Amino acid sequence: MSELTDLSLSEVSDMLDAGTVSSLELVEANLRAIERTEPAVHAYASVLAEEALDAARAADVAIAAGDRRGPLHGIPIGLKDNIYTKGSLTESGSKVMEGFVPDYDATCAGLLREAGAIIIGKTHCHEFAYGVNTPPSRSPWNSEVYPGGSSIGSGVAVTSRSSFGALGTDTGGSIRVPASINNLVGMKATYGRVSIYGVVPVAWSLDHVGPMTRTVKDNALLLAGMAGYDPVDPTSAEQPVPDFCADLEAGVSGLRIGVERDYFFYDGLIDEIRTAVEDVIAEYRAGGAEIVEVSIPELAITQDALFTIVLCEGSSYHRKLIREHGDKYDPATRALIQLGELVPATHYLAAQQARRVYRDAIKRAFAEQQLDAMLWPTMPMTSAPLDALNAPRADGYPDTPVGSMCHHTFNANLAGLPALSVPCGISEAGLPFGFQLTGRAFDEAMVYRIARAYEREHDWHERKAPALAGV
Amino acid sequence: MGYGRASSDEVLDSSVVHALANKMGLTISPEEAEVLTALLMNQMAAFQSFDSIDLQDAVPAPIFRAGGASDE
Repeated sequence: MSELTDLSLSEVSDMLDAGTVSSLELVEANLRAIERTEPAVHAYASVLAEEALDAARAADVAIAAGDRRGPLHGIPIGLKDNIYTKGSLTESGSKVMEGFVPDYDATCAGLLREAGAIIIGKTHCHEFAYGVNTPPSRSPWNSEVYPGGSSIGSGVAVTSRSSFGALGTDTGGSIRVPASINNLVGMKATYGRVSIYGVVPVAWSLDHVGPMTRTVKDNALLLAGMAGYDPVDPTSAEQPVPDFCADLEAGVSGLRIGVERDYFFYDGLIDEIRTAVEDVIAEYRAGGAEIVEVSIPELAITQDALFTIVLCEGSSYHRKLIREHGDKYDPATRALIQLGELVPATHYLAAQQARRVYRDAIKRAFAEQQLDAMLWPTMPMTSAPLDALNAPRADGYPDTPVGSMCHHTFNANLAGLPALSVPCGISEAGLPFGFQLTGRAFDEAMVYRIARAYEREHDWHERKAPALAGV
Repeated sequence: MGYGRASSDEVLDSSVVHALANKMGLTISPEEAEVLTALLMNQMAAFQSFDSIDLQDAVPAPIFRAGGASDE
């Protein structure tokens, strides 16, 4: 494996600035990594080698002329295959969209291209990001376990060092869960912070698109490249985009971090993660943060509220497609889409009422306790074997792995608040996991600052899957 | 994403779901109707879970607008 691909996005960006590496070298290094790792991990639905090489040559000419557009100029990244890319396949993991080539870029893809980022490939995802079929991607950490979804290929690509960063989408945890499982940093920013125009929807009111990277700074740089008001997206927020890196090294002294235990530290939380996240909390306290215990009983209804909304909004999007191309869907996806049509409108509205109640409760907790962020595990367990995702959990807790995996992530989609998964451990079985920071609306900068304070004291982000050592 | 709730006891005749779905233009087999019926019963249980909190005076969340549910 090339040493170049072991460097972080921000490190190679600095090297581009210094003239010690070229964009062409970066793209070629990623393509070599793809060639070596793809037979085992299958991260990419399509690789855009020629386009990426051409873009790299153009970037090198511009950079040599002193016209570097910013920190992303010349950097290769991957995009989840449900994000429209002009002129290249966008199949959203489904035979329904087989051969589809958009004639425009999703706003996020277009903004990243304008910033000079180079799209090296489209990454696999679960069919229409529903998370119920089985894409071909496999984790280099353990090929027998689920690599996380639905941004499955994006997580695998970045952890396999075949991309310096990638975009995922997140309707209930689909950025943060694969980030946790693959030892990555994954951000679901505030709803409206990043345009979802040109991204194949799962559920319009819950969908987010965001970055998956190896480090916090990389993540902040990628988010900066794609954030901002989009007049063609009615859900986009007219909020200024700050410099997410400005206070990255400011530490946590004087900050107030909330911890909710009844829901997030429940009996279904495995001991290894419980201990590791308690250690994270203790480190923040030692670093000068005040840890504030909070209670939000309304968390109990977040899972049912989210599922109900996903079913109804998702089926609305697929209403025509399911009738014209029903046979092309995976049976598991098709069943959920059909189910959504049978859910009464009163259920949907009750879920939106529940969402209001939960959102008000977490906003109240932030305000009354003057919190800068809240902290809990990203997932209550490490990943599980692919063939046991719907079986009873191996530890005896009465749930399935699939049922548990998003237990800690749904709430942020309902509330629309920014949520970041940060690596904080690797289990005895060799499976990574992370903790999650949730921030105030449009205060991603604070979330990154708190995350970075932990990251700089640890080397989790530098560790890579043992299987990659000899690849 | 993933729909993880374990199947509940089926109390709804799947032939009713089969007939309704096909009437709505969703072409499904009797076997698929059985799966759909089990999932539908799960959804009914989800709806009942909302009784655990007081929704009586809650106005549905502001969803399809800038900032969405973050409401900032």
